[in-house]
Amino acid sequence: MTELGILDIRSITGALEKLHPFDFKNLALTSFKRRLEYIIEKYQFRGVDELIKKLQTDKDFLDDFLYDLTIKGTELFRDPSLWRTIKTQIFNDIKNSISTYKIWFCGNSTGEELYSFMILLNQAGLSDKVKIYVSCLSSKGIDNIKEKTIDTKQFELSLSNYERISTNKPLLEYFSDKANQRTLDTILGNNIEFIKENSIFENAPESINLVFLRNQMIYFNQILQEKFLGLIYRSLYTNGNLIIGVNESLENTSYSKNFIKDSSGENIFKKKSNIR
Amino acid sequence: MQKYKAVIIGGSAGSFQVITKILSSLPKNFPLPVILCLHRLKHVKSGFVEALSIKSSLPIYEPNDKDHIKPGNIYLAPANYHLFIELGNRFALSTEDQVNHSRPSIDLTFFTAASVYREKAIGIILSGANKDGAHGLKKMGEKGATTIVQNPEECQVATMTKAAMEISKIDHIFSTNEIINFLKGL
Repeated sequence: MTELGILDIRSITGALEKLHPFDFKNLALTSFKRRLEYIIEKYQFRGVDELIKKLQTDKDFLDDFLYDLTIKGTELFRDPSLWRTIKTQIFNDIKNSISTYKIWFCGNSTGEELYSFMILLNQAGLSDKVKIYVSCLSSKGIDNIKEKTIDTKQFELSLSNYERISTNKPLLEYFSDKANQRTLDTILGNNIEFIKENSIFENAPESINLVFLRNQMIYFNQILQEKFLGLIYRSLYTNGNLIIGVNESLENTSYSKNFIKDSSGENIFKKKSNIR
Repeated sequence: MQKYKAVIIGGSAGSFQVITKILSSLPKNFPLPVILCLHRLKHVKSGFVEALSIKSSLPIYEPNDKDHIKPGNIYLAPANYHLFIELGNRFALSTEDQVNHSRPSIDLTFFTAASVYREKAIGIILSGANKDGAHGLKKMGEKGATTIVQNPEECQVATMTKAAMEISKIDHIFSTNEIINFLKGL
């Protein structure tokens, strides 16, 4: 496998800057380097120059590239204890909300987080009370989430996660099987809006009650983390919730003072006020 | 100038007692960070740090993403994440697919330690039942790091140490006590 150096990575981000508004140069270096190496291997490029040329001359490839750049989800209901808290606490908020409860799933290119949420929401009979925004870096990611298919290879883990959360309807009853893929039946209603992230800083959804941002900021350096948190902070209502991954933290950012961690011990944070 | 910047230890089946013994023997003023990448259960998020802490005189943390790496601290790779060493002396996490059926994967922690610390690291592989870590330790060796494996004769399960010895020349094949003496001499 080709090992990329800092200069290789800089020449790729330099080319990308002219093609797409996303802040590639502030992606976390190690993960970004690994993804670029994976892409070069996958498409059998002979080197960085060939990759850059393809990006510059083939618009469809740019979208494939953006899709391949993002890390795919590997399981439904990752961290079961969080989902138990969502079922009680967040669902209670949704139940008691006078207006439509708005949720933003940020940055995913596969649907595990969305599907997990929708299955539980459906069980609670609350599907009609929400409006959902899903933002994604690539069109291919959006298509992929809409397809509602999941690789059966890793379904064992999803099943064992689910068993820790729900004794309701068996998980498999939500899916139908074809070849090596398992497809989620219905559930995703027309209250879901998909947004491409190329202009997310101009077109971020507003008046949001809950943002799912689990294990997305780990792929950003601290500059981009600040930028993204600022965007999310502005989108959230006061007292709105932000969910981040188990080993993510706001402590290394300037936003730690603007959110209060939930008493459940899960990484659910409440926005304090609009004043920073 | 200090010769080393970090000690990185990989272990799996049969390594818990060895780790405990090493941690309980390190002095309070140990000059380097010790980064542990151990195969562990996905669902068991808590308890491991506490179990390791009982006998350790140094503080043990499960790092969060982008946390600073500080000397004299022990860091344990969190469950269900890969643990990377990032430039700027910080950790970075990843949820990319399992490598060698493992997340955290020892290979990935070693690869990133090789890139960042180069010759200023010590990589150690302990008892374990798969081959994770072998390629990572090889990479560390290629960058000039000091490489150590626990003597396979002493390992509860020797697959991991033997795999590392098969694909590269290891600097030291040490018993647990020899590993401890080596680290105390730093």
